[in-house]
Amino acid sequence: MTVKGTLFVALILAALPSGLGMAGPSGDEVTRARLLLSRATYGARPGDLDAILAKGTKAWLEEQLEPERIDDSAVLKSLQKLENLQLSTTELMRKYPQPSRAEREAMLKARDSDEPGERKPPPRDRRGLVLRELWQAKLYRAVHSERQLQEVMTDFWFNHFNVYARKNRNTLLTLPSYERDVIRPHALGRFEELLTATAEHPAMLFYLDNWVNTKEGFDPREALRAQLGRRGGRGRRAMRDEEEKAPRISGINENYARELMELHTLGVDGGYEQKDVVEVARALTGWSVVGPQAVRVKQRIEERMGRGRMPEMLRKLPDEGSFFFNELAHDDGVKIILGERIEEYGEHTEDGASGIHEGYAVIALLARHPSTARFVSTKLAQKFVSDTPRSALVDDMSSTFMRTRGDIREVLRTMFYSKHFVEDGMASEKVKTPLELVASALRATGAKVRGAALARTVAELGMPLYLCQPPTGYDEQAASWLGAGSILTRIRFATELAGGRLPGTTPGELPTDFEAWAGEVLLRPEALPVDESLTASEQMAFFLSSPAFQRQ
Amino acid sequence: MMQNRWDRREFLRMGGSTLLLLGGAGAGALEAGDRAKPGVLVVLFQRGAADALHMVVPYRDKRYRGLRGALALEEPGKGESPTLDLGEGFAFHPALAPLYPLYRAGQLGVVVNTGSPDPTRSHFDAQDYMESGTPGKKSTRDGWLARALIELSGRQPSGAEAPSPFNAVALTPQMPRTLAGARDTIALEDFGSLARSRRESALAERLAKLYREDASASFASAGTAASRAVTLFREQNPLALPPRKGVRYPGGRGENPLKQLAQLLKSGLGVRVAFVESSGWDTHFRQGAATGSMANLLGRLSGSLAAFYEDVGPDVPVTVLTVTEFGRTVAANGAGGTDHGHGSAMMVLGAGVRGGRVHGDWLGLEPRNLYEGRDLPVTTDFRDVFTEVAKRALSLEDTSGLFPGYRTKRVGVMADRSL
Repeated sequence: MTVKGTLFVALILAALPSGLGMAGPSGDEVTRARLLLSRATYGARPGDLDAILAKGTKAWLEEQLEPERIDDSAVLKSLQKLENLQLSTTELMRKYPQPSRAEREAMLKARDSDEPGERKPPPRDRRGLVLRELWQAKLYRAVHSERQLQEVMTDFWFNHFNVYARKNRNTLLTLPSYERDVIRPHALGRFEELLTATAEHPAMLFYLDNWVNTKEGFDPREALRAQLGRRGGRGRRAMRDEEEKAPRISGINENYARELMELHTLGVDGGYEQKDVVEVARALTGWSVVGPQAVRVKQRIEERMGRGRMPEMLRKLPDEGSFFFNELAHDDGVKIILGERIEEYGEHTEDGASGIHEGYAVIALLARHPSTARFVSTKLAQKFVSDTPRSALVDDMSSTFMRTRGDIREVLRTMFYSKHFVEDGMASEKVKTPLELVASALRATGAKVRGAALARTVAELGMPLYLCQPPTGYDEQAASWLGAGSILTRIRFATELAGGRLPGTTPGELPTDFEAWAGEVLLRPEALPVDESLTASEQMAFFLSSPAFQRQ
Repeated sequence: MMQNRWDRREFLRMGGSTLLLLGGAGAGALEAGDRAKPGVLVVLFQRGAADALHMVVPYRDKRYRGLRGALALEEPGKGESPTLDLGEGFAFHPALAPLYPLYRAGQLGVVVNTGSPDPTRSHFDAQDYMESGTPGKKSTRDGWLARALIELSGRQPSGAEAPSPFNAVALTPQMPRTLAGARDTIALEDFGSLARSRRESALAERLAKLYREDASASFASAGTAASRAVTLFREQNPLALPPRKGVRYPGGRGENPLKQLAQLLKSGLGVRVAFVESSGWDTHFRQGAATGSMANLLGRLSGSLAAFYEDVGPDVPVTVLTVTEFGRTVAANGAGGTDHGHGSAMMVLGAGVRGGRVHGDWLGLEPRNLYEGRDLPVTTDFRDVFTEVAKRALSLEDTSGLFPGYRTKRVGVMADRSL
């Protein structure tokens, strides 16, 4: 096919905000505005460029850095419909109890049956609804929220502190709270508070196995028997029913400790050794989650012994699905981490044991470490500026991190106001991740998120949301997202969106003036071949699949 | 070395008899034929931890019946549903009957007591470790098969044609962890989606041109590959190929991925590595004995594999490796199923396999020889099997990059070309 009438249009001219006349913003200001829309939001909508220039990029950025100043009530109101996302983990666990053995059996039977007569639709695991609501909310916010930087940062931190929804049966139920109570509120806050909140959250405790991290030789049954004491005969009998099911796992589990240092704080070259991993794991022994079994044991013991005679530890046991510190599983020995004696580092409990405070001390030590400042700053600069940020920029951000004790908002200010932001940001080649591509395409075309089906598209593009298996999270580097397969899938996505048949969306109107429109939604407006033989929706598909629209 | 079916058919197809008449044929001609058709490696992941004792039955072990209870299977040649004798006291589950002739013909080998040295009984962790190929290390970004591909393309002489965009394919909705980080890889649950309407193909071609001509090298190379993929797929039109006469794939929900894979392999797309998966192996409840839910799974698996092998076999030197994240408890649980265990079994089918025998160190079912007193132990590290199979199937010269820092040991499931 030949390209008829290829029009090369200087789109920068076409895109200059019309209402601002001769005394309009400087070229630098326009460039900065484009870059901010491309990197600090999920992509420009038609009209956004005019709006940000009318406000001034500085005022706009300051507003985005303090999202509570931005009215987002329409979005928040729509999200109220997603009921599971309003519930606590405990409420979700009550609402969606583990399927009973018979129910699970029925599900398996339906799935495996080869008898045509028995091929009934299998009973649905209703927990899947929680994942669909998470998908819908994430995409809805990415596309429609006015608090765009907060959403970009929420995604950044979720990815940094990644949790895989299908790690075990309960992990999914912890994610609404994880994102709502841990990630989003701290997304522009203090790194140390964010880190602490992730460490204490059942989502992370499940995902990286710290909930089974105990001192060597810990036996939960023995420990509880010791607590019940001599008078606890009836309580001990109550436990017997549960014994068969008791987990046999005990001992140090290093998974969380390792990723805490390698991926969450210091970075792989951050100056720690294997013995530090073991010592951090020991400091975090006993950081666990109340599981259904603990709740059952507590209930039975309470029924037989009465609440008053129960050991204090059981009386104080929080609700199912909550964080709790199991002091019986904690290793009280001396720990030396990065050369510091950790029990001398933090607070102590009344009886002089450092217990849970050792964990907090470790988190503080890691959060305030210069390697952490550098590691986090580098990742932020890679996200917003360039896959290979220059060290001068990372240096500036790291020193802000150290000076402000990890104030994320301040680190972002240093980055966005640096001269390197525009210079290197414009020179760099960043490619949109699948989430960024989908959200920016919807924003650019005025399409609306209607349902969770849209998340399937993001998954097909290679980024199943909340389902990234490794703790590294998804890669930010361009090379990861460019390949023959991914381009073909991106073309299919663009064709469906432009044709108004993308699942889970309500399509927008096609623009009448493609050139002006393209000039508003691209980072670097550039010549695009316009082919008169294409229909408007084909032209749109072509445009949304072009290299220019894949660039961030 | 065993004379295998590939060499013979390949030889005949290439007019071997004429060559023989002209003299100077024999081994040299066979080797030339072998080189002309590059080997293909297919990895089939049984997700959910398949019960090894329901695949390879140690019927002669005196503890077998007691431990398995209602799950115990008949001895070969006995009962209503006899198992199929593999020799040395082992037998196939009756549902694996479609694969039995291949075992007898020396095309299929089995490795028992194989798996990961990592003790985890979490599906997620164990699959992750097996796919990344780094047990105990979670932060590995790429998959082991992606690293095998790097070794494969690294051996291309410089200036040689770039690998096919279909160099690796996964018939899965998303790119599997096993192939994470690989270039020239396409993951699609249904490759039919590549067969577009004329108009969409035209659009895709024009876009690919735009990418090819992009100033950035990464866009340009991806665009080139995408454009080649579209053109190649249209030229080859693999999905129009019918199965070989007489080959029947078992039914079941959805398209049989192995049927489509056979079409991709039989056409000239240049596939060297393929990944397919099957699910449902997490048989905690009523897995059944000779019949029942696990027998159904085994029946579908073996029927599909046997059909696939017959379908592509004569044309493509293919090696299939079945893997699973761990095994299951030796003893049946209270619900007629088995719980998460440790060692499992793998099957290797195809060219160069030392088939017709059971490989790996079998220690019996005595409690002291079981892992933690309850599971089959791991006496063969999965990395040893993977390395040996990939090396032979893909003719890799250097396999040190597949499992960095791990020193592999020989299993013997593949014939050593140098012997």
